[in-house]
Amino acid sequence: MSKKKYDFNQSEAQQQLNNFFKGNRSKLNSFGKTVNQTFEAYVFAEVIKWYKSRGWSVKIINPKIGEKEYFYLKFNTRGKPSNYSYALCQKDSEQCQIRHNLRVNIKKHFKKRANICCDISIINNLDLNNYSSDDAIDNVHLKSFGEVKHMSGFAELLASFIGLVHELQPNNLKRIRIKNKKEENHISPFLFLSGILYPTANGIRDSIKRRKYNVDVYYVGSSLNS
Amino acid sequence: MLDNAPKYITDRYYSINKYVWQDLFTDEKKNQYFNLRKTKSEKLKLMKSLRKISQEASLALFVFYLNQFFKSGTNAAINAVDIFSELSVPGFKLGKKVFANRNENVLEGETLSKDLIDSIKDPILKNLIVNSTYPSEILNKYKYLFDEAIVESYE
Repeated sequence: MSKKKYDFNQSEAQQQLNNFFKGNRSKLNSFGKTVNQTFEAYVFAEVIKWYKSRGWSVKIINPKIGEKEYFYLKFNTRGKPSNYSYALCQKDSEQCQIRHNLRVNIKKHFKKRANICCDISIINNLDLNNYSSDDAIDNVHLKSFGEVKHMSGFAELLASFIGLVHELQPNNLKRIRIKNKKEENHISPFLFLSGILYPTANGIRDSIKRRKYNVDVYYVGSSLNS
Repeated sequence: MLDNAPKYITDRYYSINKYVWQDLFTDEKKNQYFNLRKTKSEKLKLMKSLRKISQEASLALFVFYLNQFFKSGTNAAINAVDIFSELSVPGFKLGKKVFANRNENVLEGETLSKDLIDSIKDPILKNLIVNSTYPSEILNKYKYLFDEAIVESYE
């Protein structure tokens, strides 16, 4: 391979890129403001699809404004849960809710406020109408959760996710995924990335698999529903 | 180049730049470079050449990632509206932006991707971006050039 084959004119390319940024400034700003939340909406939808594909019936429950219902996802850590939509799932006699940005107490929660706002949470079918923006559901009601990041994965991010699992559902950090283990009724705690896994992050993911932890890491090219 | 780019894009550029240099100039390459029996000015010339290769790789990778980022925005929006529509939910709202069917907001990323590719006039760069599926495909091409530059300097 000769050098000339990949020797493009850098300064011309940079000028062309600058023109692109200049000519698309408002579109770029508009896109940038919503791209992360769009990705969250996508993952929320994928979790619904996961449950549907395993025989759960799914119904969207929307908040009412006056007599009308509106579909609102919770793209902020602030806000009363009752003001936002959620998915109500049912299979046989079991029911659960798929919620967006809900506060959940950590497993070892004592008197002081110690909760995490989960991007995606799967919880028992609770009545959250009287929950304020700061209230958190008790950890015992948490079936699973997901962390969504619109970025590529670096090692510290995966380690930090394991920290989340440790606080919320430490029982998943054991040798659970052994041979012949039956698939769980609920989705396992997951980290969902829109980008690639950098090499050391890939190493951590590999280590997690070898330790048979009951968690998943998804990244570009992989899917909750593949 | 980045004067008119929003912060979320400039941040990505700086992290890619650093990542590419670290990926190309490995410890092994550093040893080869420092052990070269060359004068100081010859070594500086080689370093300048290596930096140029790295900058080209960074630029190519940056455009590649940007393109993927725009396209993934539309892919995510499409998947979300399609799954919601199966549940009789016509779309979702983010502030004042409504995402439904294949409206302008859903296709915003795809439009930006198209405009980005159209703005690149150099056929070599355009070919690299459009015909690569993974960033490693681009990086490996430049790793070869990088190694070649060091090997050639032994001659």
